[in-house]
Amino acid sequence: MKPFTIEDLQVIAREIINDREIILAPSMSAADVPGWDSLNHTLITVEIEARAEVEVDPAQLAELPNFGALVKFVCARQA
Amino acid sequence: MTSPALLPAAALDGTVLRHWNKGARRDLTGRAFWSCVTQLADWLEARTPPDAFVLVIGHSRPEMMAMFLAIAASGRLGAFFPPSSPIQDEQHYFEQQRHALSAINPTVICAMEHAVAETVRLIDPTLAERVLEVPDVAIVPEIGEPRALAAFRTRLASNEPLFVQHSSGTTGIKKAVAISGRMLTAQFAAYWPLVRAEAGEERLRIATWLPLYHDMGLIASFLLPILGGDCISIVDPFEWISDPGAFFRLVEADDCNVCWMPNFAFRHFVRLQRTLKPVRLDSVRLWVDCSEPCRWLDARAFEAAFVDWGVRPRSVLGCYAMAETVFAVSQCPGDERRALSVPPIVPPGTPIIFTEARVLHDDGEVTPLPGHKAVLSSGRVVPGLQVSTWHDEVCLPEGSYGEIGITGDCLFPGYRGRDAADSNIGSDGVFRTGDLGVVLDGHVYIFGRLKEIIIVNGKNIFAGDVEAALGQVVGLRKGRIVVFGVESDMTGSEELIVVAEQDPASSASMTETRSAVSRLVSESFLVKPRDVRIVEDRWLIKSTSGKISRDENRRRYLDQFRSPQA
Repeated sequence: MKPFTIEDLQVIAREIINDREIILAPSMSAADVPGWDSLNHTLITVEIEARAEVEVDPAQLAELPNFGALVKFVCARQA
Repeated sequence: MTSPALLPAAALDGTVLRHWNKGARRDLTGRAFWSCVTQLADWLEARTPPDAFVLVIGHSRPEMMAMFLAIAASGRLGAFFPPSSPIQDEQHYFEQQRHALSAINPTVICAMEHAVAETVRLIDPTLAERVLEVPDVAIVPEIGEPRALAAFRTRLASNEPLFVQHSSGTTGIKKAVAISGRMLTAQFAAYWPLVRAEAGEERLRIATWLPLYHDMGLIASFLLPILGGDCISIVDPFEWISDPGAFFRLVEADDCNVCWMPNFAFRHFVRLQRTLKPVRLDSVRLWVDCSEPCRWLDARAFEAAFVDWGVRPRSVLGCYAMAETVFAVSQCPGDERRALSVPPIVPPGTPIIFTEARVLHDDGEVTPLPGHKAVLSSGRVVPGLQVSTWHDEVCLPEGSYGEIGITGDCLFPGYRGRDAADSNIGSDGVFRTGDLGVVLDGHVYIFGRLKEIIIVNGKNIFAGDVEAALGQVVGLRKGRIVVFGVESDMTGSEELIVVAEQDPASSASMTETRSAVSRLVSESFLVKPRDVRIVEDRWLIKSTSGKISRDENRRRYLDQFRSPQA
């Protein structure tokens, strides 16, 4: 299983929010990204599950402080 | 059509409430529920003066619903107030809530959970002594008719305010609509027979995830079913957001037959469809699309996406509703479903037949003309209300596009604390809604607004409020900011767009400025901007009056950033 990366998250966010100019950094969080609202968060979570082949709860991901922590969390689930 | 029975005795020993929490269900009979209301009314009467104004804050569950009715049954005046949202940061949330609570000035605040009580005390320590933590109730079923039910029945016959609905303000709660028992029963008598006829069943089984502090959740999905002795299956809105599939599982398990949802929720389910575990949705006879512009394409897309799950063709029907008329102004019958394909710009006062607009039908033309929007019919006006259209002070003939005016039985007399004139009610008794639309062949279509209000996922946002708030963001040029809405096929709602000029004197990077704008809008207004564009000096277009033009800049934004070539 290929470890989940911030680039994977960026691809998902661009696809779900339909904004190909979104650029994510580990220090950023959903609050920094226009279009990443609670409904899209659910859809992004579903895509993360499909791509990383793990089960995650949208609420758990929402509690993480930034995207760096989110990627680490998903990778830990993959392990 | 006969008037439906009000608070029927037969409902006492049937199930009236099914509460879902993380997959587990708790059922309450009418007797258990109303006995809970009695116990909470006794508790409240011992702690508040008879003229108390009581706010209820908490998560959707039977005890909170019982508390609301206990306030009414005990002769007090009550209102729901939203709990904190996970997407707001504490500082902004506290600031807004302090402002809103100060404006409302409740006598007491009933907190349904300890954590909610703690939060309110932190928001404003001066409110601490007004906070009442509602205790857990061990329900003792009463013999005969529960006392609270009898008291509530008496209050339904009164013109005195029974409860208050707050309009969804942006930076604070702006307007309060007091609903009397007579207004509520008039709405019940007018609307409920239409819903029952559409469902084809005498006893309704309502499925809801809607917040109780919004009229669709409060009236259509709670109070009207309670008056009718129907059954409500409910899940908290925060649970719906994090697990939308749970709602469909609730519908299947409880064999629900009616459901109200805002338009964006239909679109959201379409986007989620391939990820949800299939369930059977055959039981639902009526999906009501309400609370923001109803879109023909989303109604049909929902039916198509879930046809294999049992969603019936033509079961998604439009409704036009507002707190000022208690709830429904109009409702579309299933055998008359249609839409209006309208050009992007129709000047108010224009007879719709003089435009390229045309009616779409499921059995005929279904595709709107290129560039048009397809507006789902909100149906026929409910009995007892009258709808007219206006351009300035002129009442227009049917078929003309204009501001919607309303008169009738369950219309409010004015916002709480304001007179009729200050509530957009003219000396002729017509309430001018600020919504723009047309009545054509007896069907109401709503597709515009007088003021620049952006409706994002059911929440009303005033563009001017957002622009004013963004004036504090470092990196933006003061006064060179524009906010507008763009209808979205992706979300089934409007998207909030911010375009602002960069302050050349600022050292903030574009990424930092975008983040700051995104954070401020979501924390202050509880919606996320869909796009934030930081543009160069003098990009924004001014109108001939020297103001930043929303329409011109919207067009420029769409051409430059959202056209297929962009």
